[in-house]
Amino acid sequence: MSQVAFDFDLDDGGVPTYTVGELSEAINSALRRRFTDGVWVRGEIQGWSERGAHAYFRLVEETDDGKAAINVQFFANARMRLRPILTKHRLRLGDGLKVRIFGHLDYFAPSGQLGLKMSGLDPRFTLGEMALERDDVVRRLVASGLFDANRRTKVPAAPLRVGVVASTASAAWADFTHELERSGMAFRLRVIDVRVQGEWAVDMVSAAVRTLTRHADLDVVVLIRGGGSKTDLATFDHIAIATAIATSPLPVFTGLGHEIDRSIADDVAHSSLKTPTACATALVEHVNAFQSDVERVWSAIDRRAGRVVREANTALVAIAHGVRRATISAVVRSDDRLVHRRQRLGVAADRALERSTDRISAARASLLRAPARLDPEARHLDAVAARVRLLDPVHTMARGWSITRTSDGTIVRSADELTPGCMITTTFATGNARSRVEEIST
Amino acid sequence: MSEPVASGYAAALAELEAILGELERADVDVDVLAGQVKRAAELIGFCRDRIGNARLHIEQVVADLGDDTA
Repeated sequence: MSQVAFDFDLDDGGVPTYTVGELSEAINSALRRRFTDGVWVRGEIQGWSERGAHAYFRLVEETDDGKAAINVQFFANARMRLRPILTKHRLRLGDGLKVRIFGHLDYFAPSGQLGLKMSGLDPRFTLGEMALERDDVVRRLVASGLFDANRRTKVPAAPLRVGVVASTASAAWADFTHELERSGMAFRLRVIDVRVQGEWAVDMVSAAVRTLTRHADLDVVVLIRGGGSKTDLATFDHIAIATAIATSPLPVFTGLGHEIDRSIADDVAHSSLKTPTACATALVEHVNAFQSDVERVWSAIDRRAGRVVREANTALVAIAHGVRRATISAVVRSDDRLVHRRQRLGVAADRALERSTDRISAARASLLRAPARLDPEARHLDAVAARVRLLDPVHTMARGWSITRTSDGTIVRSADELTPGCMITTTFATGNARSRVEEIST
Repeated sequence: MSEPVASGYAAALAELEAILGELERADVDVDVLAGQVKRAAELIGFCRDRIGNARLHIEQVVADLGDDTA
């Protein structure tokens, strides 16, 4: 049984049917007609890869409507031709770089893909784009007050504890450590090994800076790189690295290995040096300055201490002499006083003895006169006795006076107290007599 | 008189002066007078004894003193 054959009679309206090869040829022909002299395209390099001497990447544009991309082939002969331009402007092509390139569109039949064969580059475009981005980052740092924040931190007197962000496989690391070792100073390093170029450089460097600056046992953080193209340096223009440096509580030193251009990392760092070696030298000079200061202060202390001791010694000697003189003088004076007092004592004792003898003599004389002092007393007593004697009625009555009393014994002092006929008793010096009153006359 | 003699010369003399003052008043009672005179005589005797004793004592002391210092 034979196979059934179908014969479709399609009405194609006169439009020719291409084979794939014919279509590829037609596309290329149309492209050449439309873009006879080639085309300038601008966009960002992504997916950069090198195979042999050739390089391949996609040129991408992020638009509001989405993403637009075209594959670019950058073959060895074109690369060779463009190398002097790139070198002159210190550019290196790689991911993230914004470029304006020239080439010819080519539809590659075997893979069915449209591509651009790159043959030219506008370096001024890339430089301008980099400058714009850089300006934008600087503007944002200034606006947030971070631009000079790290420059306000203070480098410790002897910055010996150093955190280093570097690629330890690089010459930069070797130069840096060699310079520190050469100083003979006791630097202590804490290193974080990072990639300083390429896709992960920004994240690794900024994370390393943040990690080290959080260490309280470090004095300073150093960020070094061995040199490279201007586009590699653009890594250090990134806001993430600039912010990590600017917000660091420790001073950050940069030595990014470029003689002409400065990165934003350099601008915001406490100190920016041209090379890793210069960075190491700066640290050594800081420590040297500290040592010099310490030695100068120590010398000053030494001189001052010496002077103080000499002055104190002189003063002590003077005091000792003074004490000696004063002591001798005091002893002499005491001796003089003793002699004088001894003399005075002799005289005073003699005088006191004389005075005492005189007083005793006087007292004795006075005492001898004592009996005579009784005489006035005796005389006074005699006078009293005489007066008492005079008053004794016995004596009065002996001279003829008598006392008259009434019959009841009352003394009669006046004739008025008597009446004729009353009895009276008269007492004489010796004896009594009773009588009757005859007559009264007054 | 049974009343004791004064405790000392000064007291005896003071009592004597008081008796004398009373005896020299105009209205002195004659009956009291004799007693007062007797008391005064006692006091005078007492005082005389005291003076005599003192004199004797002093003379003795002074005599001893004289011997010592001679």
